[in-house]
Amino acid sequence: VKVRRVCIAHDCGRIVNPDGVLNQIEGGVLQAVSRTLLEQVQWDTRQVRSVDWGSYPILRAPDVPRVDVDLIDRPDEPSLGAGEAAGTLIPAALANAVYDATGVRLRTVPLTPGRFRAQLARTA
Amino acid sequence: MVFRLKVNSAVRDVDADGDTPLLWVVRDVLGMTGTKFGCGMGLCGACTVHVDGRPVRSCVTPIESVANAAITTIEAIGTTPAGKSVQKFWTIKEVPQCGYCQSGQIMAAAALLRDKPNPTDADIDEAMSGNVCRCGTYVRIREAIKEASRDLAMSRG
Repeated sequence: VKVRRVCIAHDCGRIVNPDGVLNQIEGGVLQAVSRTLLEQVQWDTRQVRSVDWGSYPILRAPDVPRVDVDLIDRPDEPSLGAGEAAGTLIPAALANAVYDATGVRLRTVPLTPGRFRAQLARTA
Repeated sequence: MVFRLKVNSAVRDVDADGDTPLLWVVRDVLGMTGTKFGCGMGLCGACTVHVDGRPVRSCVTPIESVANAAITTIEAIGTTPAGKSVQKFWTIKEVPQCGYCQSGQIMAAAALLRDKPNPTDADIDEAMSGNVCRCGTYVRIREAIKEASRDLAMSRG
């Protein structure tokens, strides 16, 4: 799965620093893409096996999508948290895209090839 | 053993074992703490410095291997044309969030623009692929490098 572009609209009430909000949303989106496609702590029966950036890969420059953000400013509302909320949408959006493309419904992240094959076998 | 190092154009004599990582000499002996310890295994890029203009991971570089080389750290990268431009647009674009990886990112970007003043997207991806950012500032890193590239092209005339 390759994410080319993410478009996202964000309402966090009154916006005080628009560029700061954009920065937070961009980061939140990329963290969530990384989590959804790659990140999983591995254990064996004795210990955690994810101990460095080799055994726990995260998103790197070549896999970073374009991120387009629309800010919804509501000056009459209180300011609420920005950034983390963006991340809650990404796993659902990507899982829906996988379902749309293949008919395979994945409900656990990361959306790994192994999970996909297992679910495909169950579905078929 | 005493090693004579050339760091940021100054000659410094350092008494340390030859296999001491350059990172710890820069930080603990020479007191320049802009270069960060990330993973200690050359996997994350936070400790990137330049050795003869090339980006290297100082956490896995023994000082005996760089005794005759010109070492540049984040403290002096602003004295090079590419480094100065990269820092300028890093500030304008407000790239950093937590900031921990950013001196390494800037060193990688400055090395890229020194070698390839007009990089393609693929050049940028390749040059920056060894520097991880947990905050996800990659979008702005890419933008800042492109702006710095345009800035350098204009200053060349």
